[in-house]
Amino acid sequence: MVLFVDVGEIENAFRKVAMQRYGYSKGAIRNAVSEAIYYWLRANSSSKLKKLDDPVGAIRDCLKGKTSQTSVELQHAAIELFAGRTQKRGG
Amino acid sequence: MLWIDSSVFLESALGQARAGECEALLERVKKGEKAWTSDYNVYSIVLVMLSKKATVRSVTRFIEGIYSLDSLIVYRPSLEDIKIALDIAVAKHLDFDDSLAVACMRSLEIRKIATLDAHFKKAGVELELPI
Repeated sequence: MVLFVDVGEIENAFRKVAMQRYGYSKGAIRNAVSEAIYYWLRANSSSKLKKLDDPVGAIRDCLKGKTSQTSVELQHAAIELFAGRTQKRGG
Repeated sequence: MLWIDSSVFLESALGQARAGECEALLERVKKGEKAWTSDYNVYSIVLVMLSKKATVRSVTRFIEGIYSLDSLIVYRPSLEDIKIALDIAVAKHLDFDDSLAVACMRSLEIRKIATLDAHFKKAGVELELPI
């Protein structure tokens, strides 16, 4: 597949990083573009998730009444949840 | 462009005092305002929800909510972002989760963050919501 795309101002940064990663060869840009498209596809395609008409409504109140902690307290509790699991795995 | 911290999603999820402001902000994203968050934030919220005995159905619904906000990009921090986050955590006396957000913002050249976390006041970023 041959694509012609004007990526605007990120072109130079893309070329630079592609060369750093794949060397100053003719295939560097092609490899980097293929990798970028692959990761974009993996990150954005889904057959398991539904598109919702009201995404904000889906988030609203889904933890209501589950805790008296604030959002910020819960946010920082997450790091302890990560750490707790790590400690258990570390034995 | 705007960075959205997990406290914004959590405030709405908890239905707490500032949920309305947070939901108004998410509605802006729903209508097309470009915003970013990290996959770390999504993992954090999922972990918190599960630890609070939220059902798999409601966690799935939360993930589908994130997925359905088309203008919200879920950024995967690079290894360099993580290294920079460690440096920021030490320099600014921030928790790692906060410094990771700041590192991602620097990497993406995003200046403004929507958060309810007062720790970001000392992080050298602009605040979208008053704290």
